[in-house]
Amino acid sequence: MRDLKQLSDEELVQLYRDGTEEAFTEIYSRYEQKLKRLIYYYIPNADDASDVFHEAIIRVFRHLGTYKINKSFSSWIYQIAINCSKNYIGRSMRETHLVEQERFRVRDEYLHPVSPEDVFISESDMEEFNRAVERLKDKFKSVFILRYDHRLKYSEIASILGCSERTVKWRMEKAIEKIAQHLSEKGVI
Amino acid sequence: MRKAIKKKPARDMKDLIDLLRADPKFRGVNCDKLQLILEQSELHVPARWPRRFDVTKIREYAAAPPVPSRAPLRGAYRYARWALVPACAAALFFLVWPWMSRDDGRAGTITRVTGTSMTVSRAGRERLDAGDTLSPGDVITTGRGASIDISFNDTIRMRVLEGSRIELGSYELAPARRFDALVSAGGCILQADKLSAGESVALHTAGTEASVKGTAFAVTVSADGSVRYEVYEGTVRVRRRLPSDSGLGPEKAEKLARYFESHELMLDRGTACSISPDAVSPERANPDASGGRIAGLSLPVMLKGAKALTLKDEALSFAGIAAISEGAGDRGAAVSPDTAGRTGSIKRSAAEHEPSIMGGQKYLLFIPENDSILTIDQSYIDASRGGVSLWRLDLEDAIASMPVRDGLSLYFSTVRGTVSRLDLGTGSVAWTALAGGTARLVLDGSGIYYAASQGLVGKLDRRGELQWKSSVGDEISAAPVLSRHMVLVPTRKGRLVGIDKYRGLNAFDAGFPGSIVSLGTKGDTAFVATENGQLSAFSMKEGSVAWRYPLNDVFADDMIIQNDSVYVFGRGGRVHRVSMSGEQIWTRDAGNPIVKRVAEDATRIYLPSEQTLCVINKITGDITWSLMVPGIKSGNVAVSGGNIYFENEKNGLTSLKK
Repeated sequence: MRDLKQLSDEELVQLYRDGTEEAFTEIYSRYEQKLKRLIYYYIPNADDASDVFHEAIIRVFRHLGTYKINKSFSSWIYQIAINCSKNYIGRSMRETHLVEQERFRVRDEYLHPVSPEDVFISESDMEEFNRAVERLKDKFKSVFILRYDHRLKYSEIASILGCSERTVKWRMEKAIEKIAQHLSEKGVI
Repeated sequence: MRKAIKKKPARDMKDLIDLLRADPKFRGVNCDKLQLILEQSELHVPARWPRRFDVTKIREYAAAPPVPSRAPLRGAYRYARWALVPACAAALFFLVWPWMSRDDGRAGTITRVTGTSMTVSRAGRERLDAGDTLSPGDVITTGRGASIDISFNDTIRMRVLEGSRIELGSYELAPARRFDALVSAGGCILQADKLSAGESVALHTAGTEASVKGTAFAVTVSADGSVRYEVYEGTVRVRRRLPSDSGLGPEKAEKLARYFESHELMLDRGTACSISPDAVSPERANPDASGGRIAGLSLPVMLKGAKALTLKDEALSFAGIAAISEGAGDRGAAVSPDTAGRTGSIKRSAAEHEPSIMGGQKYLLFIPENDSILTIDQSYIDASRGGVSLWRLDLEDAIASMPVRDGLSLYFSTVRGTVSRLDLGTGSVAWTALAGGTARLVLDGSGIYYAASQGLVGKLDRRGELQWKSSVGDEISAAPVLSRHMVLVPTRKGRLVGIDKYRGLNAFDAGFPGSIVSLGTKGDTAFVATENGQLSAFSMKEGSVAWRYPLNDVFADDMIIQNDSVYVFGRGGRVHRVSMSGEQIWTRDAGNPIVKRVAEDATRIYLPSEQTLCVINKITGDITWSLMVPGIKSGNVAVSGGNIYFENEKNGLTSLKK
């Protein structure tokens, strides 16, 4: 029996298509946290995000036959998760509510500063940072979150969002500029 | 309870902050603190997720057929609301159409009649007088010494010369002009106001056709069947066509149509062309013969200078056209389309060498390094910034092909068979090397690769020293392109030759049906557009064709590879986007023939034509905007961050905001 953990996503898909059911379990465990994390950004409610995650994973399972093996699997699965999240937001019309949710926090390791200069990221700074990210247009926000939180390559983001790599880079630059502009206007930086 | 996951910040986050630091807009902003916020914060997710189903359950759900919606009408509404848009558009169209297509009675009005023997074969009417109107399908005949002037809505004016027979096609004049007429004997002079996108005005003879772009020109059919076109204003595209009663099978007819399309001529003001009768009938012509020419079928031959234009002021005055004085342009040179390029202009200094493949037009290049614009003519290169000339280099020999640029170095080839490096900072030539023929160039970090017309391929290093030389034994048909390890050379006989970039050894030789018109690569795949209208993907790894897609178009030289797609361009004005796996994503008619080079930026494609600049969105294929720009003279437009540069007849070098 081959060690499934050693295989690439695309090889796992091929294996699953050939009848190895365990391959899907491996795919599931690889992407469970990543997708939940991504969906939670769009829908910051654990129950709802969990539902959307399952909807997305069922869709992945159902449409694995249409996935083209020469394309990046991670881009494909991220694309499905983003689409499911956006559909959910559209259905429940909860965008205005979601804007008020807190998304970013200072990491635990920085909560107890070791030196005086670390103190200056206050809670209100983080509130403004959250607000700055929320105010980004969708296209900038998606790029920012996929790059900043998921550490995806620009080429992968381009393939998920269906635009060119240069566009993604440009959107990332703009996102940072807009965040800086907002924080500067609010006197945070 | 929230869970924090430790992650290193994205590697480029610091670079992005550095960009802000360098931006004067953010002077005084505490970028260090922003960096700290980005580094020390993260998206929080719940430590524990509510458990819905395990993976086995998900499999069961996925295997079951989808549950029908509990509110089917809601789903129906979701789609129906999109159907409302075309429905409204259709309703609007039917309301407006009768108004738009109304006949105001002035279409095709005869304004002047001389002589007595004009007839129109329509409803028994034999004789025409001033003020009579004509309709689509009417046949006009003029006798000896007779002529008539016709005005079509005051936007197209036609003079039918003596001894002519002209059949009006099914023309429309509103809302857009679509005009055509068949000249079967004699001749006529036609003058059309400048055309907008989507309009067309064309004249046919039995075996030729000329489509115009806001111009004045004459066509005459001699008794022996030879045809002559003379251009007095604007530009005319002339090509052979199959007679409507040719009776050829569809396959042969298509091959011949492509052959004629690929040998069409663009006639500028002051030029003319003649087309002799065919030596063999199209039925007997062999379109599969090798050598690029079909024996027995005539092609348009360009005539320039004093012998080109024969009509005098008197004949032309009806539409306010001025005859062109003798001596304008070169004198009396007859140039065949094969040697003249698309516009037929040939520099005199190049006469003893091979012809240039620049098409006789100026090209513009934006140099972001010093914010200047380079104007590349066949005989000089000029650099300017903000309308002020920085330097100008006059060349002894005409430039042969599109130069290539790397930073502040420009590499160009000449008709004398040389390749030179030009320092764009100073305008001085750093070195010149011999390529052995009119060469097309391509470069990468290690050197410059040239493919000379007769199949010689070589590599020069950055100092101009020859690294290797090879031969593909066939005429080069388009610019070579580079893949990771190979230089790919396309040939007229449809061969794609892969040469090892480092040692110059032939790695593969693949055959395609028809001459290769344009070429591009991504990874290990080469995309090949051939003259038979097919786009193919060739896997260099497998050594075989991965897929073929028949686009049935006559391709222009350019090809763009981006967004996991191949963009190819039809000379007729169609842009095609095809996925890397060979599926057409969209196709769009830009409305004007693509006779100039295509430009691009990250999101858009810029298609300049003689009168129009059309911009297409790369993702959707929608026309972002299209602008009437009279008299674009340059062979391309140069695109910078915020501007589009081109040269036009009136104002010289001109820029538009994107």
